[in-house]
Amino acid sequence: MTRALIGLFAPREKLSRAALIAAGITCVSLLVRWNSTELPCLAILLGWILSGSFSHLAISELSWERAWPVAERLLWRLRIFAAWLVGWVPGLALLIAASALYALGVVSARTWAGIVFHTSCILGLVPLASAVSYRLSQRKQGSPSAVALLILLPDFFLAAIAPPFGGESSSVSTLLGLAVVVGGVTGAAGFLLTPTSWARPRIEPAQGRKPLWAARQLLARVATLNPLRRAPIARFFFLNGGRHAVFGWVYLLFVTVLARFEFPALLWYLAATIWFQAYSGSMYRDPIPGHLPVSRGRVLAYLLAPLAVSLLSGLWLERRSPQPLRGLYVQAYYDDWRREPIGKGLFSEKNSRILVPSSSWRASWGEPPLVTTPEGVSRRPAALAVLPGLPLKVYNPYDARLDDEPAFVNYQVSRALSAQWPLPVSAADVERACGALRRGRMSPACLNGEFSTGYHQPRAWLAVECWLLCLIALFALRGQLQDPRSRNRARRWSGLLWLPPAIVLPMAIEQVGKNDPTTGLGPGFQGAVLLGELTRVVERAPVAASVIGLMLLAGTYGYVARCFARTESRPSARAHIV
Amino acid sequence: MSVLSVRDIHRSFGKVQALRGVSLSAKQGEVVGLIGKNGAGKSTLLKIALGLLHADQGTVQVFGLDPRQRPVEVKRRIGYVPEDENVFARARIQQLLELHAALYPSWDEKLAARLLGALVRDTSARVDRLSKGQARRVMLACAMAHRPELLLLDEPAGGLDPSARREFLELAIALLNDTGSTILFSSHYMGDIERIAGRVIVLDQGQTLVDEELDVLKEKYCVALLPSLAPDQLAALEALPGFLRQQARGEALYAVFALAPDAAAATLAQRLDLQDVRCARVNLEELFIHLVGGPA
Repeated sequence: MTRALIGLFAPREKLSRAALIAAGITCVSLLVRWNSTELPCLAILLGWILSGSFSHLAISELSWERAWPVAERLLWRLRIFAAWLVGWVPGLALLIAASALYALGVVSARTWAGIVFHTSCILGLVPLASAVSYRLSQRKQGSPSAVALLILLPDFFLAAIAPPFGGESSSVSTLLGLAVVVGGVTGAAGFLLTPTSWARPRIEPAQGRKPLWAARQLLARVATLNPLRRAPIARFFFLNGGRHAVFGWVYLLFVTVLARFEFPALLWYLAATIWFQAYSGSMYRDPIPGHLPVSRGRVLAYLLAPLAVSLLSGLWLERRSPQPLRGLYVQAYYDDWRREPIGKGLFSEKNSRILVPSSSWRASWGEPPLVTTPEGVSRRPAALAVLPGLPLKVYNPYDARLDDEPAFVNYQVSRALSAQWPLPVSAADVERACGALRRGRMSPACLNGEFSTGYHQPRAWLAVECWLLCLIALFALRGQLQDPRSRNRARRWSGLLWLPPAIVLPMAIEQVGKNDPTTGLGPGFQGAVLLGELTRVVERAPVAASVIGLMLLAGTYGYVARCFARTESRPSARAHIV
Repeated sequence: MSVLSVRDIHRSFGKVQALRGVSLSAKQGEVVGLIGKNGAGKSTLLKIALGLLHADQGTVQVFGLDPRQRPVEVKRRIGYVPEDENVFARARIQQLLELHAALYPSWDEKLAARLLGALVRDTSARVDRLSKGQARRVMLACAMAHRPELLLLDEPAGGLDPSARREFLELAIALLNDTGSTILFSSHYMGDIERIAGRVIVLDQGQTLVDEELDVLKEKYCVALLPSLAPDQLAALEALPGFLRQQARGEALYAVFALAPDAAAATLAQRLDLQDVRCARVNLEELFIHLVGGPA
């Protein structure tokens, strides 16, 4: 019987297992490829989120299972065991894989220590959190997702706040962790509060709360003045009041606080898109457009209006706000303390002497062009494939390898600075200004006195990010309109194709916005390079690019509108879950 | 003129055929009850009538219009309560009322208040914090307060206690009297159907098994209790005029005929040589069980 119960409680759903397996494979492959803690941990965190959401931890079954002739203690142990399975199996697998890779010399000790630390935190917290959440679930009814989040919440939080062991840039995991925290708190609040507010007696205002009560009454009266006008606003709040929309708001808030952006307009774009992902999702979950006499075209306009407002305000902000003085933030290393490359035979930004932000990298179809100094020394920069097997590559045109001579490094630094500054900088200038340093960071501070004058970041005539985000948002919406009952399974799942670009684009914008040469390589970095290329194309032919962009947008909008008009309402409460 | 006209509708969900050639029409002021087992296609039919789902084959006309071509115009004249689902769970009652008042030009605030009953005293309550019965009441108020010409109710009384169900039925009848609305509603409560429906449609496995006036159904349908029959006799039974369904239960065999009891007994005696067979009229619930009560 115990075996049967274990089978019942264990995460048996295909999606749950698939999420865990996919997370494990992604994590290990990222670990091998990038030799960093950040991306592998993100993969495993996402795997845990998805697996926890899909797994069989629904507390609605509690009353049912408690009616069985089984000791409650056994039920409790089995529940905890199920939670451990969700939390521990991928953690242990990751530990074993990371240790094996470390033993083989593929990953560094620092990375291995970071993985061990993150995983240990999670392994330690899973039993604790699951025990607490089980007790909570016995007390009151709540949503299964709230319980899953309660179990997972402390894990993510610890993982997010523990960058000292290897998170190169902890902002992504911090954002993710905080979003989960807020989502969990929201869910937990709904879970802990008694859901029967109607049964409570109407509370008359206490003396101390009278002003607030009076304000609420006033608002209620104003609300009834012109219901016709207020209806769209009410509908807007229906769509944005849900817990799923919280993630978008949280992202907006924490990106503002944490992300150290140099370009506020990029922040607007980014936040607007993230917000829209959550916002448009609610459209499909709430069958509001279904039976009411509202045309689909109008509903689509409602859905897209906040996004359009956000993006247009971002565009306006970009045009109107004073651009920061922006020098190319270069790190150049002349010493040989890095002689031993990190990650044997692996591509790593740390194997280069010169680090530049992603916006200064270039894309090439095939091998990158040779760099030749006036003295005739030629080097080909190391390149990184955007996708394995694809000839589209990104490379640092100012790359200087560890075995290059200081003269070549000077030449590359001078090129890097000349590309960004309005004045030509020669290798001799670099040698004269910074040769004495010979070590460490070479930044505008090194050359400030001689070259740094007023510099303005060139603007794309129509911001590339703006219409790219619009496109992604439209395709995201289109993806959510897939018919879940379609006979064609591939077609049903094709709705998720928008996910990779929707994830990579904000990461790319974040990379561009940071203007930081030390940010780790990854999908966001490669996306940022491609974004930079596209921006350069737009700058070269702004009118033509804008016309094409607008036509593309209009066409996509028409396509999505047509799909939206044809979409059926979901046939039942659960059938829309793909 | 038909308010609702459905012709030869087919609809599949993957490999499952939910509707297979269903046709029906409803005139102004008519109350049509849809009954059938779970999965018979009742909700699908209602959603197709409203334009929420599309038919794979067949035509639908509401007020002479195609609900897919003229959705807003059609929906403005329809009230709809979905099955066991609070579509605006996070909204407050006041917000819902405002939204519906804005969407329906014929919205009647007094009727909405009447339909809400005691709930009207605290319209700041969120729908998901209401009891199931109260939430259904809000949904009914939203569906009925604009005095729709066609009311589509999908299990409207599901989960309601008997007194709430009775109250709802009375409200529906009052609306019918006030505005002459056409009502098409599905229910598993035969008592409710008998109370307000003028016509009954029995759906079984996506097909219309019976479409009759309730009075006719009560008068002209009967169930015959037969002894177990040999296979050739069974084949002969199924070929009899007026025969609908047969089900074996234990040693006995129940056969449903669209005939008056005397006529059914005479037919059985004449064609199958079964003398003194007991044929009787039964109530709607019994008839339903004998018609569709077997394995799906």
